[in-house]
Amino acid sequence: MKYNQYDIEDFLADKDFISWIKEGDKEQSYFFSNWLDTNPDNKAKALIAREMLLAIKTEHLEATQQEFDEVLESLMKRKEYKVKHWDYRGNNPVIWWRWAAIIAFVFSLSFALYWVDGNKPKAEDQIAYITKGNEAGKRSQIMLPDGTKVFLNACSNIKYSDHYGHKEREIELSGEAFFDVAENKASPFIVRTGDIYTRALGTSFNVHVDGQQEGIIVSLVSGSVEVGHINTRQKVQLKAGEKVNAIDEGLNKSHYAYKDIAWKDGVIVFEKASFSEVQQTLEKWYGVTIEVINSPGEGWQYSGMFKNSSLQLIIERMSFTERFNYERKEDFITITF
Amino acid sequence: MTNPNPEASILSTIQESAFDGNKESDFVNKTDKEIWKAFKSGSEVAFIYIYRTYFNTLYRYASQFCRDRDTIKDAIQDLFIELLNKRNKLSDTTSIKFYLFKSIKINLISKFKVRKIDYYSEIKGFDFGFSMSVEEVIINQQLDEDKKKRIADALQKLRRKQREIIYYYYFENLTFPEIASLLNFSNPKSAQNLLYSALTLLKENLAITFLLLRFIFR
Repeated sequence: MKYNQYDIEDFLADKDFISWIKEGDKEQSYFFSNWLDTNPDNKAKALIAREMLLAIKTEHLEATQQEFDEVLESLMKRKEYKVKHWDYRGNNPVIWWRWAAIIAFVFSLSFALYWVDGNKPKAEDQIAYITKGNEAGKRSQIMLPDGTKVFLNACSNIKYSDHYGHKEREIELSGEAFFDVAENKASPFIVRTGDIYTRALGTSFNVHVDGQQEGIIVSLVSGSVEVGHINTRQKVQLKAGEKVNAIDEGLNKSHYAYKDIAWKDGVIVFEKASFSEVQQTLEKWYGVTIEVINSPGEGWQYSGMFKNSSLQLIIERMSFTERFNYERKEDFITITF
Repeated sequence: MTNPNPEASILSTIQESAFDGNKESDFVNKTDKEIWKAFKSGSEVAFIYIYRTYFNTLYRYASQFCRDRDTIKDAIQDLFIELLNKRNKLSDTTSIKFYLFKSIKINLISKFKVRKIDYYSEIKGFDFGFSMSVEEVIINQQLDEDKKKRIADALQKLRRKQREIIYYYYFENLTFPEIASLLNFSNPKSAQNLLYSALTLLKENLAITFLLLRFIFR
């Protein structure tokens, strides 16, 4: 057996030995403990190698959570990342004529089944999900099967089952959307955002998953809703005009301002906004990339409101009052203070 | 600072309803070859999965070349942007970690060439330095100092490439062909020989120290 002839270097280089020492691999552990017991001669060398391996520590910098998030966020803002860039569906791209044959087959099969089975209800595991999303620069209005209107903001998406409206009305949301919920007392409307749910009967409200502060904000315009945490079972009831911020396992109630829901009317509101806030808002709203040279000082802030305005108009107006130069090449804007 | 937990990222909410019908959990049991292929074919979820899986390890590796956090972040970002840009033209790979390491090493080295900085002390990386520490309580202070000095002396004798190969072999679990490529060796055997020379050096200088340790602290 090779281990009897091993010198210290050989142990140090042996991958099985290493995985035993470093990972406490069960299989290896059984083998090596057994070997050590039955081979006292070479035991010393093995143990020295073991001590040395356990002692080695590298020097390096560890990434922070913030850096992890920052790099990912800036990747997602890039042109190269735009949603239409991703066209993956399923596991294998199939040649079109094969698709045509498959579709024809499925069509005839389902027709035959329908003829035979009539209107049998679908089995549980045949639920399909519908996803609708917007990349940066795009906002849309969606009508759900029950008449509920959803205004979907940029960088947001919703997901719901094709059973929606029959027994339940459940939507999963990431990003931001305004809901104008059709009244249906028999079937509560529920929006899921991570661990937080918002339940309503017939109301209009805004749900915003805030990337910056890591909170989820629900603003109620009319009617009444209940907002709760799935795990902690905490919940609050909102009346019209109120808003709640779900953050760090807490639910903080207050009143909402027009700014919280203005986006749905096509209005951009800046209230003493920092440059970084202005930059991020415009990038998300118009789907552009904004670079800044000589960023403005710490105290710089901007207040203003724009309704259904073009980016060109906003930048022009700002550059005049804030005294910066800008250069625009399609989706790429450079601002110089 | 605590290590970033890829599960706790605020962006995990966004990824669960990905556009291509995949979930990141689908990729946990797939091979590197499959994950890479999914990414090449246009799966956004595969891309995010790769980012999450390798971000921390890339950061640690990059810090061997440069200690400046902004430069490291830029290098990682550039790497992933390049992946996005060249998605369709990428070759297949059986080890994503190796592929990413190779790319980022090239990126970081060229960054320094351009700046003509070789050893700008503030941002110089850790250069694959490592230490050896023994956890046991030392009763005799003198012995402790001697031991530390011996270890430091022994480690000093290692050449940079020997330290680098120890990093790849022990901490990143790369294979000899992969290590050879990272060190620009044409033959994997050269990598194996280099590792052995490093281990022999360590043995000759440290085995006694560790042996004594065992005798004293039965």
